[in-house]
Amino acid sequence: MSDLNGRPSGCKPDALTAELTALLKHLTGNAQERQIRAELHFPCRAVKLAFRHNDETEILMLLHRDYVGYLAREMVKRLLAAEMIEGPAANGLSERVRQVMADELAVEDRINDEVRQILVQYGDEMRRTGASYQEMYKKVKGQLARERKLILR
Amino acid sequence: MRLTREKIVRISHRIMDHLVASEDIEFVEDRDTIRKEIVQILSTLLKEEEVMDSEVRKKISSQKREIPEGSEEWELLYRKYYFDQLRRLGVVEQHRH
Repeated sequence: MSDLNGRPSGCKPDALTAELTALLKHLTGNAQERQIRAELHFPCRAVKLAFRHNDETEILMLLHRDYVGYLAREMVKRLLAAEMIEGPAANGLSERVRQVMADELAVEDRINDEVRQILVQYGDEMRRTGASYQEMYKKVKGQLARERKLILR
Repeated sequence: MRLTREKIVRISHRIMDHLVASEDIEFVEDRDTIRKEIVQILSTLLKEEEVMDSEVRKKISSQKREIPEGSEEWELLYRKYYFDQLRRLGVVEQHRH
């Protein structure tokens, strides 16, 4: 028995078919493994498909760059004022804290770029199996984040 | 709020790691107290940002003509009003846009 999307009955509504789950496993893993698998399964296949990616929220920064600078300055100012830390150069420290924060806030942007690159590589395979780009995007992104224990936002 | 509590806690740990690695910083309080204070400061400031964001949205929706969210005009107005708020806070300089 299966539902209208060809999934076995009892599957979660957003569950992928077995074939797509296998593809998802195939897409993730470390870069070296992916490269090896790509060479084994898709030799000489240069996939150059342009996918329309309509999820604009994905490419927006979580916080405005200037606001991140403000957060860092305020934090250092308040920690020093509360005499929780002591340091000779508040300005220099604020800039370093801003960099740490900006790097952590950019985790999602970096994952998004990586997912796009992975999916472009496997465009033909996804088209053949009827995988939805949006769905695969979400699944691959989720899997990479879980594997690396990242907190995206 | 734009960031989850989990993300704020992650940022606090990363900042603490940086502070611990900085030779020019001395800790007066114990590390966990400082990290919790960082979480508190970030949460407070991010709530202020949330208020700012909703004020900007309210200002756009109070225009005589309806401007659909996500349209180019909406994005432009959002950026303009958001920058006005940042200037008011002193986050960005007056002449910048």
